[in-house]
Amino acid sequence: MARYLLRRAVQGAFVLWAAFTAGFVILYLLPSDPVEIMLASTGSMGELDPGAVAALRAEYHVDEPFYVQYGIALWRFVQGDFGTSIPQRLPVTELIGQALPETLGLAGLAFAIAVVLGGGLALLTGYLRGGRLRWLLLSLPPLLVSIPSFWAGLILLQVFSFRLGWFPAIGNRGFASVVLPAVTLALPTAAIIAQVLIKSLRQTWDEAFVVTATAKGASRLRVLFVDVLRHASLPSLTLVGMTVGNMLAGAIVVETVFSRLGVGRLVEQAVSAQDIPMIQGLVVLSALVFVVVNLVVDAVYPLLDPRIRPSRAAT
Amino acid sequence: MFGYSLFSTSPVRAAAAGAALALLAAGCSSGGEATAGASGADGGAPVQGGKLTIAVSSFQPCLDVSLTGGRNSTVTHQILDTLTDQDPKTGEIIPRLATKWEVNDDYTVFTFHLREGVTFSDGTPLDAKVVADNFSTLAALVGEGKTDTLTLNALNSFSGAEAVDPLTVRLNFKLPELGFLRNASDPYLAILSASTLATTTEERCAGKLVGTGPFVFDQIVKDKSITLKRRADYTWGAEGVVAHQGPSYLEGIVFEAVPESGVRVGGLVSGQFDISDDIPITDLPQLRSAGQTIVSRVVPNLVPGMRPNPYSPLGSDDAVRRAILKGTDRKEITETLYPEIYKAPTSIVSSGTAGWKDFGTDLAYDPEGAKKILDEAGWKPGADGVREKDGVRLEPKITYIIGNFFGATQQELELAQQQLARIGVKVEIKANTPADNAAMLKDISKADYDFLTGSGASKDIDFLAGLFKKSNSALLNAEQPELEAVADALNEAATPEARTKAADDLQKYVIDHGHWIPLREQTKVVAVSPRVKGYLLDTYAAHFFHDTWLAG
Repeated sequence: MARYLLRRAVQGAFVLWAAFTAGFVILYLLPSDPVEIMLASTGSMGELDPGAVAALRAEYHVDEPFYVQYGIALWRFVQGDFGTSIPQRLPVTELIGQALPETLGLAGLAFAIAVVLGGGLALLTGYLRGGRLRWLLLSLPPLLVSIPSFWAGLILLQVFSFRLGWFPAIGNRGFASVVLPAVTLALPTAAIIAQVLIKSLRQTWDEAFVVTATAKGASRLRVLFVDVLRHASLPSLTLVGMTVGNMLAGAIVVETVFSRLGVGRLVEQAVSAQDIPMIQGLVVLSALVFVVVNLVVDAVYPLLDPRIRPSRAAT
Repeated sequence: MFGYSLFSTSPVRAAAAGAALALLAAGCSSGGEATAGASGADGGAPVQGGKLTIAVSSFQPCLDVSLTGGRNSTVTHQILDTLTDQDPKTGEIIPRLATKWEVNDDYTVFTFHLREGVTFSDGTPLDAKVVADNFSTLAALVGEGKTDTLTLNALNSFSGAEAVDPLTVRLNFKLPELGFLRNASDPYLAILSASTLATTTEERCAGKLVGTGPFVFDQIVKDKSITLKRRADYTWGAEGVVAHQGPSYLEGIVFEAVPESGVRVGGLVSGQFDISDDIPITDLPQLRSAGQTIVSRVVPNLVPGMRPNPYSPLGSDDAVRRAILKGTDRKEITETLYPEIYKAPTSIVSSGTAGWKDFGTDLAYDPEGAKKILDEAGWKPGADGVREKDGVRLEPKITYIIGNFFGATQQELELAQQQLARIGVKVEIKANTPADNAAMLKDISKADYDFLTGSGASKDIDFLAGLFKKSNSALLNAEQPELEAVADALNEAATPEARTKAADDLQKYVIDHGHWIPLREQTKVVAVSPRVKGYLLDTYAAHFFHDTWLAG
């Protein structure tokens, strides 16, 4: 098991390196010059003396050949240093460090809501044998997944903040302020979880061991929770790794609509300002999150399904 | 120097971001109501205390506007004072930190007599030495290229400052600076404490600023919120500007960054904010019917418009420029996109700008005149109606910066595109990101555009000269001798009369030859809750909170 995880970790490190390199190459190919952008953003473009420009160019190594720039960046990356954000003049790691807890809190709550909502929906449809309610519930996931986040966010704000006044409209102000953004972020993820779980629950009902359990006289509820769910939850678990990516992407919209600070806002600012060091840092951060989550998912699989447990001989 | 809002923020953060070179102006006079609930007039006696919350679309990336942002000071000027001020009604220069001043006949030596008993919020007194150090330090930063373009323009010919006695300071310039007294009222020349002058520009940008203003920074959460608290010992508000002496009525002010305009509107109506800044025109009826007050003021600037590329064949063609100027229906643009509040421009500068002259008749929509100009210049309509000359089609490329309201917007250009199609000009609209725009302006002689769009700060007409001299990077040393001469004449004017004439001549020349094709005036629009009293937009069209109080 340890060797299995170690191998996955090495693969994860490779993914990180690949993400870093791909990000570096794409940003290198952009026709813009970070020093030009920086000077434009300090308002002194065209007025600066050539000496200062040269010094800045040297600081950012923009005049070096590609492989030298890459080498310098890679060496820094290995040490966890992504350089300085161009417009903010602060270390990228520090800025991400400040924003990350806010987004993790938001995404964590959103994930919990998504699991409860999506799982609940799927179990309810799995329990019901038919009828109008089941039909209605089955149509919910496609509906939820097609609602754009910014629209859902604005509707939630309109109803629960502006009309009813239950939650504040903006900010990072304690639990009340995270509820609406978390629900907004959770909706599409809940829909995906529900959709996949509904499908695998339906398939599992037809499995022989379920028929056996039912034949033994177990109640429908017991069969659903004890036998069917455990078996049917594997595909949904695989999805978790991907939904985390959705969360990061969704945070860009949700954090803007709800005026929250976080990684999503950093992405939006970095892209619009072509803040190359920051973009690079965020690319690696996203890759890191994917790697970690998938590592966790890999570690959880065997606990749910003994068939996936790696044999000692095989590893 | 740049005459444009070259750099704005993302579409979502849009307006008022005023990053970088955004030389958005802010300024005086005319149009709409500039105040909400004049104190005393309604709602009885002012109430002390309370915290006001104002939702803004974003904060300037650097809180020290002398370094970046120029006049785009949402927050900072609440904590700072300037040497002079402008009368909110007449625009006349009046005392603030300086009680009086003398200027020599050449307008090169300015002697300011400082108010007694003024202190910075760190307890140190305001004296001649610290004022002199302010200007020397700023001039040094100008030399290092670390300041905003407006600061650079104001201190271009500064040669030194000296403390004559503890309360008298003398500033020397190499060239006549007829606009300096007005510049001295602008937030980017506000006076900072000695401790602030000793810090780095990074620290100043982050908000390590100590001034003599009615408020001080209480808490700054970067990109999120800024909280101010009042100074209990503030007694030096500029006479004629403030409605009361003594500390501000409000205990504190919270500025919240709310990027989404719908949330700024909804939050105001539901009482979560007291004031919402940067209100889209489309939301005004909803806000009015919900009982909110709309406060607006024309921003003094080179109005949003189109600037020809002197290196492109179409941009350098006098006939094409003149025809586009005449073939653009500015009235239709403002009436279609900005009903009420906005007005069509009457010169290249807004009606709120000192030195503005009415050239409304020269800017009237005249499609027949435009066609005649093109016919005479040999641009003949082709088979599809688009004019051609020597095999070249009249298809100018016009750029705009996405999400930047300080230049032309996409809708404005689309309307102009329809209007110009009627005279046989086929406009191609090109959207630029701020970074694209910066790249484009690196070398306009190679850039693929015929007209770019933007605006330029010019509260005082003096700035116009710099915007139309070939040293401006959007002109990149293109030889246009006549334009250069009229711009120089304004720069060199040594008497107020000569200056007025030179300013009129420059406006006229630029309009006659289409070196700037105005599209609309810029108006700042703010929505205010009925419980807010005594709030106004000052001569820079910036928030003025000293007399503001909260009823009930």
